[in-house]
Amino acid sequence: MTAEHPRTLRLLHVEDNIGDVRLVAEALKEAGWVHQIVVACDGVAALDYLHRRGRYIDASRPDLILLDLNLPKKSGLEVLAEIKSDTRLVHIPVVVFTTSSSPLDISRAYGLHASCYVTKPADLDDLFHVIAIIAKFWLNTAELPQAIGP
Amino acid sequence: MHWFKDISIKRKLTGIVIVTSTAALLLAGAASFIYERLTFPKNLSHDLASLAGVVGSNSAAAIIFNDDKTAAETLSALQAMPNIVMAQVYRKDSTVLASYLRRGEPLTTLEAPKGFSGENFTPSYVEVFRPISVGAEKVGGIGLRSDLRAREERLWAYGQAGLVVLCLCLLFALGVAGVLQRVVSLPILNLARIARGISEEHDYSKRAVKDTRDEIGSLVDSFNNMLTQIEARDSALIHAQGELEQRVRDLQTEVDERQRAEKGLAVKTAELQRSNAELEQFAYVASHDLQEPLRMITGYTQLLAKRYHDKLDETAAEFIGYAVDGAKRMQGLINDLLTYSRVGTRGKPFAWAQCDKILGDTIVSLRVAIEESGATVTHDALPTVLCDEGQLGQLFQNLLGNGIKYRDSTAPRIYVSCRREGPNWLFSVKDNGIGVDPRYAERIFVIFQRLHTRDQYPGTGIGLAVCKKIVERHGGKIWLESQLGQGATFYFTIPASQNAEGG
Repeated sequence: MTAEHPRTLRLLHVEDNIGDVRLVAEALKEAGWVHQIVVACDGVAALDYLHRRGRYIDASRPDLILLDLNLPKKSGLEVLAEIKSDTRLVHIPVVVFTTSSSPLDISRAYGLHASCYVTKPADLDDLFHVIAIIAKFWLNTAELPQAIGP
Repeated sequence: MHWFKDISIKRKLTGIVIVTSTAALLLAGAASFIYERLTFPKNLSHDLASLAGVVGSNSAAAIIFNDDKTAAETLSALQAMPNIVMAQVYRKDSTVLASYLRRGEPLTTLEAPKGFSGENFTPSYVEVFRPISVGAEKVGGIGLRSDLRAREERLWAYGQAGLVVLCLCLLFALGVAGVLQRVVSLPILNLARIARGISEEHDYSKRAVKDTRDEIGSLVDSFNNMLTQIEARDSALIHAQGELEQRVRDLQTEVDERQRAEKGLAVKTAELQRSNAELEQFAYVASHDLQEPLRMITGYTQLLAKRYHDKLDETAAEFIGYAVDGAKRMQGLINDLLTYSRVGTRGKPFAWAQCDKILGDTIVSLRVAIEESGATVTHDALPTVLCDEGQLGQLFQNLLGNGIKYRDSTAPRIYVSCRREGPNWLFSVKDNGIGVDPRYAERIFVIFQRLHTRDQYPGTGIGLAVCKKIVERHGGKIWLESQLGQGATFYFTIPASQNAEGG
């Protein structure tokens, strides 16, 4: 079903725990994800990637961002705030994907215009299920904006 | 008369004496003046008549001999009488034989009356006419005019004398006033001096000396009486003031002590709050950070089982099962710990809320469990209380959930009621479940304490610990009354209205 998407999409997964990165990748693979996955291990790296700085000079803009909140150097909420205050990045949907189910984090994330907020399930099956839903929604249900400009 | 009130008694006395004596003198002077003024012309006319008699008899011969020169000489003797203005000697036929005019007077005539006898009184002079007789025969007449200068002189002399007397009188009056002052105003001045001294030195033990038994004497008595009373009151006042000061000092000491105690208490409370907050923050952060590795354990163990189940034997699958189960239980414990710590860290400020509505919402959210167990939940009218609505809901949910969970073979019946007990609302949640051995009535509120194995009743042992923490945050107490196998009744109190802490 996902393979039907007309173009190759790019997902930026901002996550410091490589175990989680791998689990999400496995879950996406199981959900039939054929698109590109880029990983940034901390908030600063994520912003460097988005702004095409340093070693990300040739990076392409992602179509979707999966953002953890507990990040080294710069927190997920700070990254979110910077994305949503930058006219070149503001249109990219950001899915907050974190262990925290704190109402404060949830309201702050939506206050910073997160597209949605998903708590990481502890159970593997639940995790795979949730990832499948996210992939299906953003690939097949929602329309994503076309990448504009270089 | 107002000025009179303001001058000193000494002056008043002097003034009264002077006015009295002056008035008496003036009255006497006026009386003699009037008397003199009225009687003088009469007396003068008597004198003039005698003079006319003398001068007339001296002029008789000159008239008889018609000797005007002699008559004029006789008359000129009148120069010795300065008040005589004019004199004329008349012949028998009333013609003037000789005249006398005081030097400087204008020449006029004295009209002699018939018979040469009479007196004329005018405001400025007196005229007297007398016949001149030799034997029985009237030979002529004489007329004298006298001015009233003598009267003026006499009155002037009276006036001078009066003035001198007046001066003497005034001197005397001053003397009398001095004496009177010593008698009357000195005691009063003494009294005033003592009063002034008392008011300046506040020494109410002084007394005025009583010299006389008159009005001033009774004034001194009254004054001394008043002083006695003031002295008594003053000493009472000083005594009361001393007591008051002592009381103020005591109060101040008490206030200081209380302030010190309050300060100490505030410091301790702050310390406690800080350590509490730190502890809760620690529990919260630890729970969160513990979740991550745990999720890795469960995730990858499950992934292992999922991907390699065909390559592993049954023992491996069993081991993996224990690992996943352990990790999941750990997860549950951490979640419970998180819930527990959130009662303190994520509590909302208190607001008035209807317990009927809160309980209604709880029953709705427990609908599935209620329907599955066939439970009946009934309740009385519940009050409106100051609380964290969400936490009170959680409290009801945990207690109701407990009642449903720990049931025996019969369908659970849960009854919630509330009554006022002193300053608190006393809530009770009664069930017909398995009950609790009274030995464990307190232990069940301790976190992670369980009375049953997970096989019998699932759970981590957090529910009642959370209940206790919620009730205590609201300033209440929670306890259990139960017998094994006879159901249980949970009681908890919520202050009816007070400054409940919003921690």
